[in-house]
Amino acid sequence: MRNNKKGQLGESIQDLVCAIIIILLLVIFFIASNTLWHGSNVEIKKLSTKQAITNQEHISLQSWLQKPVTINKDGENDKGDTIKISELIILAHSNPSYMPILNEEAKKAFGEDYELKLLSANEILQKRIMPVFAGPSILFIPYVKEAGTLFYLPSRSKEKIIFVNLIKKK
Amino acid sequence: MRNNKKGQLGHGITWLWKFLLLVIVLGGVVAVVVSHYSKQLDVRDAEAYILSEKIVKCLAPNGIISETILKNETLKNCLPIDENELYINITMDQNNLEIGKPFLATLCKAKEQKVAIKFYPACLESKYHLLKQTTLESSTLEMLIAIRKIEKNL
Repeated sequence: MRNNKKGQLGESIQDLVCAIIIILLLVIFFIASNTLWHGSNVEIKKLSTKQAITNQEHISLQSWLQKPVTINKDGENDKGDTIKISELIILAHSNPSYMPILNEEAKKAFGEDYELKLLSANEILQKRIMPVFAGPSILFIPYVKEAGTLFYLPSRSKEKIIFVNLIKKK
Repeated sequence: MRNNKKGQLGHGITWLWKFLLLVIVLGGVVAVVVSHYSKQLDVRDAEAYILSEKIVKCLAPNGIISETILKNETLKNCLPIDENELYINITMDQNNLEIGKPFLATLCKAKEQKVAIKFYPACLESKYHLLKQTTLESSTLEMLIAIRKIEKNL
């Protein structure tokens, strides 16, 4: 009878110790997760800052592509030809002598911080796979190699599509 | 018979003790999970970005803006604005449009200068390159959005 009581007491103490260990582990996990993971607020801030920058670049680039620009001007009396920036891009893609005019216009509109690249479909469609952690699962998302804001000037054949890439210098 | 009764009582007390431990452990799990996930989410930065995008798309639908459009009424027609919780300042060339509580702009400056204030507003400064409708000349639209909404987010 006495041995039975001792056994019960021992068992109760064992249960208590187990419960304390479980609670301690929970506290450790809680502290570790708070230290390692900065929380949703930081993630929301990062994402919205990124979105805001992309939005500014996208609207600005869309507007700039419609801007009229004068080319082929010989002397002061010559009025030259007025075309849109998007048309100048098509010209510059086939004739690199128009590239300096394009770069100058880009510098005027976006400043020194941005770089403008003209890319072909083959250059832009280099897909890579990026693992993204989405809750308990991992998604493998294909993405294009070039960063920054992209616009494309359509064409009937894929080879002639021009991608305008506005990218912020690091 | 007496021993059996005592045994039953002991068994009952042990069961109660084990049940209590189970409640403590489950309570601990619930407390940790609740404290971890019930933190307030500050979505004001996301809200500021969405507001900025909506305002620009409303004022300049295709990246082309009419110079006469910069009026408070136009902005109010674009989207519902709670003027007690917001401050929006739009500048383009010499035109300036202001709506909401200007003290929020001061708080934004204080935030930039890292002045210690407990409850900051969320601030977003954005710059858009746009074309003017009549002349198709380039112009820069600068926008400051400050959102208070402290009670709902912090």
